Formats: sequence, C-alpha cells, structure tokens
Amino acid sequence: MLHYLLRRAVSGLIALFLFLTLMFFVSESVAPTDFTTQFSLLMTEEQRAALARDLGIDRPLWQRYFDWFGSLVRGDLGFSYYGFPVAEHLWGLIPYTLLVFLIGTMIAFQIGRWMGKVAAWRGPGLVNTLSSISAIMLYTAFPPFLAFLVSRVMERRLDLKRPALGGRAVGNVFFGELWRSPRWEPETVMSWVLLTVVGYSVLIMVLNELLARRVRRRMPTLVQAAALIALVSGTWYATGLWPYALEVLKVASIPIVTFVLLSFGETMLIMRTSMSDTLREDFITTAEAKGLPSRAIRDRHAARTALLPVFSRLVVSLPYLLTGLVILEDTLKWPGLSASLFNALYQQDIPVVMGGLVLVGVLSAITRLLLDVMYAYLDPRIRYDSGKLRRAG
Amino acid sequence: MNNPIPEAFDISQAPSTREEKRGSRSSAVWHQFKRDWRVLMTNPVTILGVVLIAIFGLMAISYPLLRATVLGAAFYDPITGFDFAVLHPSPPGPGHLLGTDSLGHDVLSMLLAATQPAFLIGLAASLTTAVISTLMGVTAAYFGGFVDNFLVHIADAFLLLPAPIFMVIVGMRFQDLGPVQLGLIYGVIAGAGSATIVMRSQALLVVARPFIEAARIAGGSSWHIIRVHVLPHMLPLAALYMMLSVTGAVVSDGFISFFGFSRNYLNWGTMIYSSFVYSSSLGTGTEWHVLLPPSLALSLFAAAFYFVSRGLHQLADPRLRTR
Repeated sequence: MLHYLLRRAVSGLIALFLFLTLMFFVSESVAPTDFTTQFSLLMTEEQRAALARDLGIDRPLWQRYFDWFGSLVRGDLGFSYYGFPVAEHLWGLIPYTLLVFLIGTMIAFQIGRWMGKVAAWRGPGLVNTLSSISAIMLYTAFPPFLAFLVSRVMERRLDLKRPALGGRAVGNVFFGELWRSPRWEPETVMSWVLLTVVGYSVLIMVLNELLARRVRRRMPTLVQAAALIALVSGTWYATGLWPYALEVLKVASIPIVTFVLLSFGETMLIMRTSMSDTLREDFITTAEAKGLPSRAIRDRHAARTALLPVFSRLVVSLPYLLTGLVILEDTLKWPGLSASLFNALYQQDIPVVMGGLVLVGVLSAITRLLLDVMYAYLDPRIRYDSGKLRRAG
Repeated sequence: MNNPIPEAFDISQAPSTREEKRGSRSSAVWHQFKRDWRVLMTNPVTILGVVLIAIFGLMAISYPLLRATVLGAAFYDPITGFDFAVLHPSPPGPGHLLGTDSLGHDVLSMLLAATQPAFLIGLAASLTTAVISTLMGVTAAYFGGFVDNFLVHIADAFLLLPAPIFMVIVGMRFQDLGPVQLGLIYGVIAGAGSATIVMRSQALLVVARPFIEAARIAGGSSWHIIRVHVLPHMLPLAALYMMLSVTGAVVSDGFISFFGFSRNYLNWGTMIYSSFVYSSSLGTGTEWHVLLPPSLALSLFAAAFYFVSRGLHQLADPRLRTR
C-alpha cells in the first residue's frame, strides 16, 4: 500500500505543478495591463516605470515565472506588490477557510451517509423519490441565493450583526463585547477549535478501530458523537477557551450550515445508489440466511462496503465543493482565502493570487491523498495486496 | 468462365443489401432509443426533470412571441425599458405580472429573455464536454502506456482547477464573451478534468473485453475499432456527463454575472446581482419579487438537467435498471 500511496503522491505533485504553471500564465495574461496602472492618476509616467522596475514586473513573463517557481520550491511565496509577505498574509486566512471546509465536510459526510443508507434500506417509494429530489435541489441551488436565505433565517435567531451582501469590501466579521480586549485573536481561537475537533475525531476513530480489532465490536455512532462533544467541550472549558470558541462557532455557523446544505446531497445520492447495489449481493443474502438482525446487516455488512464508491466519487467532486466554498465565502463576506483571492485579482497583485492558488491546489491535493488513504484502507483488495500490510492497515 | 470470384462473394450485389442493412440499422437505433426512453420514464425524478426542461423550453420559445404581441410596449424591453406610469420598484400587479426592479425593468420580461442564453451555454458546454472527455478517455484507455500517463496527468491537473472560479477570472478579463464562448470554455475544463477520468475508467472496462481483441486480430484499424466497437459503449456515460455539464455551466455563468461581470447578454445571475446591489445601496430592503424568480429559475434549470442525469445513470449502469 505504501507503494500505491507513494505513486499517488507523485502523480499529485505532477498535477499540482501543471496546475500552477497553467494558472500562472492565465492570471498574468488575464490582467489587461499591470499592477501600476491603478495608480495612473497619482503617478507620472516615469514614477510608474520606476515602480514597475522596483517590483520586477517589467521583465519578460518567462523570467518572472522561473523566479516565482524557484522561490516556491524553496518554500518562499514572495512579497505582495504592496510590500507584505504573502505567506504571513495567507497564514492568517487559512483558519477561516479550513474551519468551514473541514467541519462542514465532516457534518455533510455523516448526514449524507446516514440519509443514503436509510433511503436505500427503505427501497423505492415516495420517501425515496422526495428525498432524492430535495437533495438534488439543494445540491444544485445557486450558492449565493442559498447563502442569502440561510443568513436571513439564522441572523435573527442568533442575533448577529453582519456586513451587507453585495459590494466588494471584506473585513472583520467579529463584533461584540467579547472582542474588545480579547485574550485570544479570532484566528488563534479558530485554530484551536479546529485542532481540538479534528484531533479528537481522529482519536475516536483510531480507538474505534482498535476496539473493533480486539473485541469485534464498534461504538455506536451516538456514543461516538457524545464522546467527541464531551472531550472537545471539556478541553475548551479547562483552557478558558469556552466563551471565545462559542462566539466563533456562532458566527461561523452561517457559512458552515450553508456549506453543509450545498454538499450533503451528493454524498447521499452516491451512498444510496451504491448501498442498493450492495444489498443485492450474495453475502447480504447469506447474512440474512444466518439470521443476523437486520440492523447488523444494514450497518455492518452493507453500509461499510457501500462506502467505497462514495470515497472514489468524492475525489472527483472535490473541486466542485471547494468552489462552492469560495463563492460562499465571497457572498457571506467571510474573510477566508477566496475573498483575498478575488480582491488580489482586482488589484492585479499576482503574488497574492498565486499564493492563494498554491494553497487551493495543495489543499485539494492533500484531501485527495487522504481520501486515497481511506479508500485503500476500506478496500480489502488494496489493503491485502501484500501480507505484511495487514497490521499497518 | 474466367471469373474467379464465386457468386457468394460477388460484391456487385452489395449496394442493395447495404441499403437494406442501413435501413435496418437506423430502425435498430430507433428501437434502442424507444427502449431506453421507456427505462428513463420509469424514474419519477427523471420525469420531473424532463417536464421542467420542457417548461424552460416553452419559456425560451415564447419570449420572442410574447414580445411581438403582449409585451410589445417599449417599457417591457428587458434592458432599456422603463414604465413611467408606476413607481419603481413595484410589486407584482396587472401591468407587470412579476413587478419591476429598482431600475424599472419588467421582471417577467427579463426572466424570459434570460432563458435562451441559458440553453445556449448549456448546449455548448455539454457538447464540448462530451467530445473532449470521450476523445481523451477512449484514447488513453485504448492506447495505454505513455499516452495514457500523459493524458491522465493532464486530467489530474484540470481536476485541481475549479472550473467556476476559472470562469469568473476569464469573465473578468473578457467581458464581452457570449454564452456560446463561455459554454465552450466550461466544457473544455470540465471535460478534460473529472469527465475524462470517469470516461477513461469506463473505456478501460470496454477495451479489456474479448470482442476488442477479436476485432484487433481480425485486422481492424485502431480508428475503426474505437469508432465501431468502443464508442457505442461510451454513449450513455457521455450523455450523463453532458447533463452534469449543463448544470455546472449554467451555475458558473450565474457566478460570473453575480460578481458583476459579463454584461453582454442578460442572464439570471445578473438579475440576482442587481437585486442584491440595488436593494442594499438604495436601502429599500430585500425585493423578494426581484430576487426570487431568477434564483428559482437558475436553481431549477440546473436541477432539471441533474434530474435527467439520474435516469441516464440508470441507463449507463445496467445493474441499476430493474430498480
């Protein structure tokens, strides 16, 4: 399996290289002129030429490309044309995007999996048809419109003050008493929230697998969820993060809920198709003939096998999910990666644009690799490729 | 008797038999189509999709007719119209069935005018997606080796590229692009990315089957084998991806307009954009009668093609047929 993953990683790197090369030339040529044009009212022709020379944008395109790529390989994203380092700027935005993306994907995946499982188990009928129609409607809904509806409904309920929709300005989304003289900045709080939630989920998953191997039994989903909530809130309470984390989650709930609504439908549809496929297999009949309880057949025999196509399909639809997220961030004025990406494009600040695209590319490449690992883990044909991999899982 | 060719192999009689054959072939295609159609129509979701598409088709056809007759007055023009008789924005009423927006445009007229570009962009995108993904996927699977590696890496790179974002960037630069050009761009990105990967894995299954080997041994050229033996097996999947491509293209077109670019033609995204922008800058509050129709039209148009794709999915995967 290590060999398989290594091959996937290398091909991911090649794809990333092609993607970045393509995007460099596209975003350079998208700008009709260059960065200095926006100051044409403030500066004379000579001053602008001098500025262009200082920034190095008077050099030919290929030279800039090799320069940029060379410093990227050394791990340096360079400086914005406004003078601030790109890496630092993006580092402050990552928590915003990751918070919505990771937590939203986790919730959407669980909801989609559960709904697909139940719908397939019930078989064709009115419930099945209606649920797939509504899932598709949510999945293909125009994201800004959905975001608008969600924020309309939730703002009043949560008593939130939000910047108006429309227009370009993106700024602070955290208002209120708590943020006057906070112990932590919102970004730090977000990183900790992310770290605790993701860390404890992984911990519970690993524990569950160990348990399954020892006593051939898994924790019920409800117990898992309860354990996760208890661990996470306990940690927050112990470190004094509690009020800040709640406030952050409250503000972030609008993008998260919108993202979940947009993305759970696909998981549900694939899960339903592959689950009803699996239910016709011989081993299900065998399990029924053995007299196993139907719950066990549904959850342990069918649902686990049916997950495989879901993973392989998620790999393909990942860009679509990420795009949905980007549009959402822009509509809801959530100051994540994409807001910076679009603003930088307007100002033709190419280093920032490319930095953002590097992050988008790396993010989706990493997620694809993770999905590959999960796929390899779930698929016995890959897992048992060679004998020694059994323990490594 | 100096004719060495036995009567059975004499090709002088071929034309008539070939004529017959062609006739039977086209009727076979027709039978296949009828069979597929019957399978499609067993799925209630697909029926809903077909009905929705028919409604949108009616909207697209009826617009020029309505403009020529009922909506004839100059103030119904979706771009320059302004009705001096009412205060704008006006709620739905007898003169303006869906009301008017802050700038005095008739909402119903705009809604209908935007239908035809949506169909155009969908058509362009779906055809491009089908052609590119089929070509790339089948070529990669059939020839294998270096060609396969090369094409798969290209597809992987396109897979990283989020098509709607790319479309917004392109729309920003070239603001006078028409629906067909935008559809083509979307089709290339979507077709070379995810669709190619799925088509390739399907083509790999087809190429591995014995009849391809038989055709090769019988001396068929690569082009002949691909055209006659491989492509027919790819058609249902290609149709499926055409439908998905329509959904994606129309939504990304909406994004471009939603961000305020591309004013070359009217579309639903532009209407949503203006309802957001003018309602917040004029402080009139949300104009639901301006926001709802285009949002619902865009979402339903995208959903309709997705509904149909569910039925096509059943066709492409025969294991699902009996369900």
